[in-house]
Amino acid sequence: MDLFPLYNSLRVSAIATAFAFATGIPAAYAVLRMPRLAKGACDALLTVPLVLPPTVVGYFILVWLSPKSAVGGKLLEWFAFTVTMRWHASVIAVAVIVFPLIYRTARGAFEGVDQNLLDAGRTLGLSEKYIFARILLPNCKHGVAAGGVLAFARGLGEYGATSMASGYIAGKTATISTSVAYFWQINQEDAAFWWVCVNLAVSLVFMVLINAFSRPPRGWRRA
Amino acid sequence: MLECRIRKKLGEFALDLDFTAEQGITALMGASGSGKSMTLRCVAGVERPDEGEITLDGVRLFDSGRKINLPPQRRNTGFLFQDYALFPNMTALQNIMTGARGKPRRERARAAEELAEAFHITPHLKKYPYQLSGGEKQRAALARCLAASPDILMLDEPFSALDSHLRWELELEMAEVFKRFRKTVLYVSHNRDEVYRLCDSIIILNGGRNEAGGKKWELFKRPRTVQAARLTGCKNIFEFEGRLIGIRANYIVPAHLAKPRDMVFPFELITEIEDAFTYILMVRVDGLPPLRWEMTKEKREKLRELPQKLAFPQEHILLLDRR
Repeated sequence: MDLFPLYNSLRVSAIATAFAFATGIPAAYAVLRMPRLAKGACDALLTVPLVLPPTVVGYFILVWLSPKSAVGGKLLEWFAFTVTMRWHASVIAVAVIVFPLIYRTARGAFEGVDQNLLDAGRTLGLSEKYIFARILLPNCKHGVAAGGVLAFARGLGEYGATSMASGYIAGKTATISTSVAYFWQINQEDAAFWWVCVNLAVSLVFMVLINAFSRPPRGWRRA
Repeated sequence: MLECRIRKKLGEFALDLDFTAEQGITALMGASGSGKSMTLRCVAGVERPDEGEITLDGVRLFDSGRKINLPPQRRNTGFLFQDYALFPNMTALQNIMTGARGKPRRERARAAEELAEAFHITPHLKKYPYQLSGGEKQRAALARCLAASPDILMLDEPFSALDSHLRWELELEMAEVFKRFRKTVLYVSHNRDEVYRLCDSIIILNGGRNEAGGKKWELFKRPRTVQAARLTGCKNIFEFEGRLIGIRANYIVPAHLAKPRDMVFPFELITEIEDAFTYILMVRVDGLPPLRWEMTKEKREKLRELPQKLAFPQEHILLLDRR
């Protein structure tokens, strides 16, 4: 059995989660410090991908990044690089889909930290960068990590946006979820069932991980 | 010296302050929700007033007219939070070291260790805040404040989170710290005894405004406003012949001890409550709300039979503003 779809799913989800992490955490911190009105607007905008059907995300990726589109055309012209119908497009699709999960959990975790700690840091003359990295993040690392695991798990099974942006190309863009659909459509029910089992196994592992992270942590957090 | 003239609107509540705190210890007294903590937060710069000026030792920290608003990092204020706000992810030593910023690591560690020594927490330096007792937490937080060599020390009800037997010990230490600090100290509290022992001056806050203030003995002797009288512990405040009058519970005397110009009233006993060292008599005088009359146990035992009348010694009657 060719394990490429499993490998590809792990690769796409890991890179996408890393991107979403790198952007979602600063975004959460920035929104946290905004005045109320701007906060509401930015919050709504950044959370939209959570409620959009994934196919709509796929649609926008195709419209903006396919070789026929403005940006995609320039990429092809300048760098001889196409994004769509390759695994790179899956990364973008998954990153957009999981971004709100990371952003939301990080924001919740940040808000759960006693804001007096941050103010105490400020009156002590500590820089905002220090306060963010050494006081805010360490005091809510479990919440932030749980968001990361949740995002990675969601990314592994992403179907709608991925299949629109990257299609199913065996050995190139196939993922575990697109494999199920593909084998079912061509009547290879055994193969479809095998990938269903892989999906179930992966989901189970991640549910265990998510639970482990959301358990009340031991030690100083309890105080 | 701190000069503070600010306004800030917070929904229904409005802060409207104009006060000066000289070098030395100034208490901010007020009921909960009177704006004490918000005042400290505005001075520290973690809260922005809508308008006004804040000047500390001649340095403009905030000036809405000239668009000056120094970030809290550059104000150099020492702020002891009510719950101490120690960083839970750092040991006591690391916490204190964050105060001594901008020096090489070794020097910071040494400064922190010296402070820890002075505050008797050396054995606890490797512990995390959740492993420290209330008193140790407060000492660590105070050491952290002082490590930053602040120009002003602001304390937000520093003893409210402590058991009463610890308070006294820490209060003595606090008095020592104040003596050595020699700059401006703002001390938020609503415990009048604590304030009287620790502070030089008192500012009374009421509904976001500072209404009375001055040296502590002046204020305790002549509170002038209802709020000041209440916060300095006056239990009996009532209207009499169109004037607002206060009399402290322990200044009421039986009528046979009255002098010619004292106010004398017949009364009726409602109930008598035995306190640890005093008796509290709740009494009714016609036309007045129930009065609280307090006397030491010795005095009470000498009285035996309660007299028919009580008196307010003229020199202890407080005439209060209607504010």
